[in-house]
Amino acid sequence: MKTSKIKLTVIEIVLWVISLVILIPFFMVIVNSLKDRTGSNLMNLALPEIVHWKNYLIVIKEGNLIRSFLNSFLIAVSSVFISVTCSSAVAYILARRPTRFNKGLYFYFLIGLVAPLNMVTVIKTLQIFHLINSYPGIILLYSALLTPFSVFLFYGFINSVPQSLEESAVIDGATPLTVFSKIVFPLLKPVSVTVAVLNFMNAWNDFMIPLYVLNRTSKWPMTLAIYNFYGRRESDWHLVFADIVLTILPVLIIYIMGQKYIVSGLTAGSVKG
Amino acid sequence: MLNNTLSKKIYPQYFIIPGFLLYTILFILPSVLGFGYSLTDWNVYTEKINFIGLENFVEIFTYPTNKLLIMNTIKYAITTTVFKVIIGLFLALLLNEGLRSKNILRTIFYIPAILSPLVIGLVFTSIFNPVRGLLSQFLNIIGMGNFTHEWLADINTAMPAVMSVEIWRFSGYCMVIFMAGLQLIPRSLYEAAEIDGAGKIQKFSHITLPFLTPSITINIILNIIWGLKVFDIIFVLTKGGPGHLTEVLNIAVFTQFSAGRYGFATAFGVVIFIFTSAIAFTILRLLNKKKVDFI
Repeated sequence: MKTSKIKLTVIEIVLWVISLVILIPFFMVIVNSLKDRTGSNLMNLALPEIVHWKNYLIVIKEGNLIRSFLNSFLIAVSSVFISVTCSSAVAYILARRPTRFNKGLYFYFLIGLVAPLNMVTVIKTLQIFHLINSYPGIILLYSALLTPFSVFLFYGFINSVPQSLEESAVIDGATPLTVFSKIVFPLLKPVSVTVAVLNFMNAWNDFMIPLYVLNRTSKWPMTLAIYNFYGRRESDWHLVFADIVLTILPVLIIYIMGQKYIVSGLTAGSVKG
Repeated sequence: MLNNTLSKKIYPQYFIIPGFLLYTILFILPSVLGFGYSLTDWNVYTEKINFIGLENFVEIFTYPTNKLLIMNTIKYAITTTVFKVIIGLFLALLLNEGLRSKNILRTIFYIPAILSPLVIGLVFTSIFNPVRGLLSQFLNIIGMGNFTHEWLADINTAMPAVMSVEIWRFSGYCMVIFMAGLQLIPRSLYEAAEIDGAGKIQKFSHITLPFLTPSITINIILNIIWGLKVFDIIFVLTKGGPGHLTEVLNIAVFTQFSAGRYGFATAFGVVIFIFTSAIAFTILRLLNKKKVDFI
């Protein structure tokens, strides 16, 4: 397809104009997070006359953000670790031994891609196992919730990895666990990174689950802390905006570093005709 | 093909146990329990849980407020999906023309999809501020100042406002899926069609669209499912108001749960489960003349 240079330039300009719909809200948040209270209440796009960096210090202190940051980090990283370990092992067996039973099991895992989590009975279940209101509870819950998509991605990838190495290693006397952890798992690195990045972002961004299962402020992640802060300081938009910046910063950094893995993950399996 | 004994030895079935237990206990078990508890009057006030048959579901499907929020959920899921798919397709087709800034534009359009819906909701709470918000400021600048509204509190604009946030958030996701689909179309097909004298529209309807069918299917299924499960954005923007005009199923689960009507809240959860599964399978059957590598 040959498209003339002028037409391309026009398309390019149109798309950049459209991109303003996305960029302007971010710009608004950033400039207003650096103004004082009166300035930020106008919510306009003017640059701050005096840059108020101290908004960030105030919000970190008053919003108890260091604690929440560590909570979010602990919850997201642990869930990633558990979901990657468990799901890769599940997908490995299901893909390598496609018996009738295992095919059914694969389908069983895929139910979770469609079905919603029933929050009320989740709480009941967590209570039964004495996991309510605890870090292990929410971490295991996220790991379970992230399992279907992780299994789905690993399964698709493992099918493209050759099997011959595994056979020869076992014949040479390696245990199945060594084969999986030392030979197979390193080969899965691209998909593992994809799963890890996507799961981290999902756990970091989630709001509904902690709202239901964590009612101690000391365990709140960033999303719950920012919502609570907004509830208390509704008219202090400069502080709310600073809080927003701090909450999205880690995800933005991961997005920019891991973009190629994210894109490969969300298009996996979805476009093959 | 490996023989069975060797296969068993290399790929021991017990590897699946941790993942299987985790998923079964914390995902499937609550769903199964949900079906059971949805048939009871389980609540915070009484010790004893009584079996009440389908009473909760009768209440859900006959009370006007509950019917309204079911309709809201369906309306929200379908409307946002249609807009997201159309905008995503439009952006993907334009970006695919071979632009120099393709990658940076793709990065920008996808940013909202990676952020927490809760945070996006907060940002739009400020944008929709009737007096000072960016939207009203913009309308003032272009001379349409008398159109400014209590966007989130007005019965006519609350639902469109909430839906537009979701469309803003996730059109870029649809775009990325479409861009991947477009990359699979061999250039030579278009060249051959041009030699045969095919016009722009013919090329689009005979080459581009058929190749994009799997991406369209996946975008529709995923977005409808996510739309039916929506919670965060509506919770932070309107909490379901004004009245019940933007209330959706997952908000009802939370409201009933907070009110201590656990059995009833569970029944709403079961309704979401049934809707999402039914819709996913129907759409797959309807659209899926071609095989999609998804389920």
